[in-house]
Amino acid sequence: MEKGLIFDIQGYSVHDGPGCRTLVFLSGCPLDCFWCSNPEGKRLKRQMMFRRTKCVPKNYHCRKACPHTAIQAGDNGVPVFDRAICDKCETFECAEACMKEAVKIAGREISVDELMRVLRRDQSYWGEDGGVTFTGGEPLLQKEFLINALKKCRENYMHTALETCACVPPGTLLEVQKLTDFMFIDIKHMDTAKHKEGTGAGNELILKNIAAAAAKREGRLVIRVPLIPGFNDSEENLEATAVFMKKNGLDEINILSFHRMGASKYEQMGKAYKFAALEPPLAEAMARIARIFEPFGIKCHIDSQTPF
Amino acid sequence: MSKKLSQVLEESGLSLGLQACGSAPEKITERESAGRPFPRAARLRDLYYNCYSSASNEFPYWYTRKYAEHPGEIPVVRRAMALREAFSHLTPVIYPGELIVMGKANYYRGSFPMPWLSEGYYMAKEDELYKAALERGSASADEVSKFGSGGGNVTKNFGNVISIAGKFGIRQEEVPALLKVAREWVGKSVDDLGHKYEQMVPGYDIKEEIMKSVVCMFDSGYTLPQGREVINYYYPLQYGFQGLMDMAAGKKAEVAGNAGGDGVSGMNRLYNYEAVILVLEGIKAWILNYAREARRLEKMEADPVQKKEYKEIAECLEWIAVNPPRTFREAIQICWTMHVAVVNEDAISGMSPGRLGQVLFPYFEQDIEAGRTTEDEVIELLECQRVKFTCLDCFASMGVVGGVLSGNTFNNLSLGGLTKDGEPACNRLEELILEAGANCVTTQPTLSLLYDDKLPESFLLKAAQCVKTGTGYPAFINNRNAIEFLLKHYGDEGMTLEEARAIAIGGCLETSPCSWLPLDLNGKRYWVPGGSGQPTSVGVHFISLPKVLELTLFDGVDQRTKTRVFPAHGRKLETYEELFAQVKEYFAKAVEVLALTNNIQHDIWRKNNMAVFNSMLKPDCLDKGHLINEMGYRYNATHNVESCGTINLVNSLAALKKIVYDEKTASLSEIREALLANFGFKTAAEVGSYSMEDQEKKEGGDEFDRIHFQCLTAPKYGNDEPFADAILKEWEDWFCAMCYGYESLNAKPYYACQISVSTHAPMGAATIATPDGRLAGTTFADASMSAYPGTDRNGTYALFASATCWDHSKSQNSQLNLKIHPSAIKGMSGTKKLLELSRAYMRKGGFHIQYNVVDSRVLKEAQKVPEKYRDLLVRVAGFTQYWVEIGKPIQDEVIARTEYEGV
Repeated sequence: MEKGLIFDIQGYSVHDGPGCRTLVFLSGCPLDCFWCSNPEGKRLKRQMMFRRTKCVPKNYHCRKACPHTAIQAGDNGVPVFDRAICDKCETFECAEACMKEAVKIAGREISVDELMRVLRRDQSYWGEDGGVTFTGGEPLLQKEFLINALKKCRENYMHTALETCACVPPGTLLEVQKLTDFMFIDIKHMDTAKHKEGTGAGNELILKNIAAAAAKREGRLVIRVPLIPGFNDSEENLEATAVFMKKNGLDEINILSFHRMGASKYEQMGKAYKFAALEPPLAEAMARIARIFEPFGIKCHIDSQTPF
Repeated sequence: MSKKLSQVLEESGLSLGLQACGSAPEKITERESAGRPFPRAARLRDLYYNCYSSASNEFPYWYTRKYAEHPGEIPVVRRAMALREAFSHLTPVIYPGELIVMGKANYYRGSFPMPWLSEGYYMAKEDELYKAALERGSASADEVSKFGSGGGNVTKNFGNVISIAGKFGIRQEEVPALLKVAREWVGKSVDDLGHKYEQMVPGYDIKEEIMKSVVCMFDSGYTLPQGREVINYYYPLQYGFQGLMDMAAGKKAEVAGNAGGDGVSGMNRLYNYEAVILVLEGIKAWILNYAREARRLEKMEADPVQKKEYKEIAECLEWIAVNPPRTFREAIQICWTMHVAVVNEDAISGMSPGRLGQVLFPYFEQDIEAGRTTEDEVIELLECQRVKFTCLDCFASMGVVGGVLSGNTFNNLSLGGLTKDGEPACNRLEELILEAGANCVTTQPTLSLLYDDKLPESFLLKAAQCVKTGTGYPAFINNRNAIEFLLKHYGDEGMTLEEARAIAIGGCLETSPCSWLPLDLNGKRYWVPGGSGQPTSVGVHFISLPKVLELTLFDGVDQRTKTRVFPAHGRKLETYEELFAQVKEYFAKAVEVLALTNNIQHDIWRKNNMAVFNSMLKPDCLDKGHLINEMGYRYNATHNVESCGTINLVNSLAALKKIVYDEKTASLSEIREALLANFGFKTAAEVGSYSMEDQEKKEGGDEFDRIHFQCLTAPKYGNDEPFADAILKEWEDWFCAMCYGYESLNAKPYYACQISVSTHAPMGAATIATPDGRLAGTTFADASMSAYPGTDRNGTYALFASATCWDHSKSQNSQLNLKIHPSAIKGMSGTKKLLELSRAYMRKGGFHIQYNVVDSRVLKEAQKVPEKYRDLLVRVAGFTQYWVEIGKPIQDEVIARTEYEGV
């Protein structure tokens, strides 16, 4: 059976589905959202991360170990990485050589059996309502691995949840939906041009998939909107979201307010973070947004307030 | 010059890297606050905040004077005479607004020394008595222990107030009298007399070195000879003090001159009953002195409300001085009176009220039913009682009170559990106790929930809700584990399943044997639980396991002081098995000499300084006519062996196994060299922080980088990794079994006790770097099942899996402290999840879990501006303490604990 690539497993998660859960983060994503808070999970490939604060300057263990000459001496003795080379690297000699874990690799291969060992352990701790949530990246990108894992979860009486952007070939979502008890699907923008601007892809496929999933759903389906100031927080866009949901018989939305927690990861990947100066929205603003959905009979949950 | 890691992080605005399961929100998250205390309780608590810990000379003066008057008397009677004298001379002080009255001494917050136990340590440092104490090793713990300098601790002299024992202020003019009284006990105190005889133990020289090198923290027999037990309030509740005196008088007539078939101690029963009567007379006089004071105040008071309250206090005291209580108010007062009397009789920490909500329930139920009181009035009384408990201070040496206890007195109140017949034992009054605990947040009494699957969900959720206020209480205790341990350990003394169900926690986490007794109130019978065993956590105190490993690696020589502690083992330590075997051998040697010497100390204690009042409260002393000294208690197999630093030992063994023995990437001598060089780092004392993350590299100290990296990345406990967990299991299986090979003075086997209290700070301070990568002088991992800060990288569930790889019912306890960010358990659903998390751990066989619900950034802020955080409470290890009153090493450790933030 094929292995999957994941970049994290987190136990005792309390915000992404009912009860206490274990989150499995699968690598790879068809979208490229500029605000993504898990940038290390965007590619279906292991990713080198460099934490400057852990680095002991001038030691250069990484530089000496790198066979691709991708690392140069920089100011203050801190290594500088040629990301064009590093992004293609598969061997990561630098990480092995570093003695401070300043160079670290995000992403590891895991078999379904290995994953199930962890989940079966955690199952004793979830309590009645809990279970496993597959997220990412985009979990559906590793469809085969995901389906095998979900089947095993079913065999083991585990409650399964999925967090997806739904930007996958038609049919894939429906196939996985049959094995899933709870779904979060993102809508980043209702306007396809804007959507493409913000995520690198249009929204047609996404909206079509959501409509199909809504029609076939058996478990709960909650729409999620990551609220990005200046991008998708206009009243117009949110109203359009509400109209779309209403049309498809969807009655629950979870708005996630923008946060900057991914910032350090961008730096570690040698990328610029565009939101350094942007302030998270105030509670009143969020409450005002919630009211947009009221007339449509849609329940709007802000941040971690989704009742499970 | 290398910066501190935390500085670097702060400058670049990054997270501290000590959080697991996601990152905390950007803004500091406040704890969810509960309600407010009643204004009366709030005023009394404010008074506490503004009071210093004060020491008084009254009790020791009267005690010593009377004791000196009767040199030829039978010891138990002589002691009872002295106690009666001291109790009847305590100056009664009642503060406006108090409902529950009486305290340890005449100060609002404070205590007094007991030179008959030990007189050397509170002498001035230049005094020859102090120097003598230092010589015998018993003061070494003082040197490495620290008190928090904030709050009510008096750590320095000011004005005409002198600081003694590192914590108490005493009036300058009282000092000469105090010293005079203390000198009376030179050569006679339990400490001095014990020392005379303990030197006759073969291997005594090893014991002395063990104390000096802080392999062990402190002696048992003269420091805090009692405590870590559950008090029993039953007999005065059922019979009243006069009834008990009459009963003892009757018994005296019965046993006078009668050996009763026991040629050794049968005749002693007469003297014991005589002593009981004497002490009860003293306590009665003490209560009536307070009643007179209330009458005096009543007469003077102009305010009609306050006047009436003084009158009610007087009436209550006048009644309970003689009779069994009739109402909830009288019952809670007499229980408090008994409690203070017990902790005034001896130096005690951890005198737990036990399942007080079940003891007081009969009065509560009947008062509510008859309309004599309301739930609000009950909560107000419970809040007043909380303040009273918090004002208790314990007087012992700085090493004991500061280093071990962080100034806490561990009056642990247990909730829930099962009844005699296996039904849920919780009741409405216990819910009000939780409410009072959440509303009127104080350190005492701390709460423990005896978690059982049978308890109703609503009750458990109420308990979880209380944890969220950040008090850290109640701790979750696995009721079934405790019952299994009790049956296994006390089965030989006749413990039945029904009796095991009476279990309550004594001290911070000590599973204690208790019993059911029938209480009759207005024709209705209630079975109430109460303590029936001797003090636990006596015997062999806190052996530092990382220190034992250090001594193993360096052939028995302490690397901090460069003195020999154990005889050289001469082994080459060529295999991992040989190394582990030698660790066990040294540990066993330490247990052996400490068991023998502490048995002697306790024997001197029970011969000259036995508990009379605490004894008579416990079954079956009054029936048998034998007190604690003649094993009159129902359960006497209570002496234990305590360990500290388990996880640092396990992680260090794992590192050595992997690096030196399995993969051979470094030799043992290379490791030794690195440890001595502190991996190229400065010492913790130089840096001024005892937390790993703040440690600084020496200039050019890079040569040990590779070896340090190997040590740090070797398998660590807490990640569900069999490599490290197997070592823990082997250690636990061996340790829990080996304790049974030692005999206490009661001719009963010892058993394992695994709590750290605060010893992980001073013991860490006295230990060089360890093979797990920990640096010299830094604090050990807290408790026994908590991961070393930052090393549990696979989340809570993996930590739980590691913690439960061994059978916890083999040990009196185990301890797991978890720091949770307030945002992870927000709201009602957060409460449910906190309960689910705790329940899951219990179901896997974990014995204990408790939480610190706090944002680390608040703690850091509080270190900077302590005066703004006078009332900030944190959970340390089995107890809750005011942040400002704990020493810096422990503060650093609490900040460093991995913070779990649900995502």
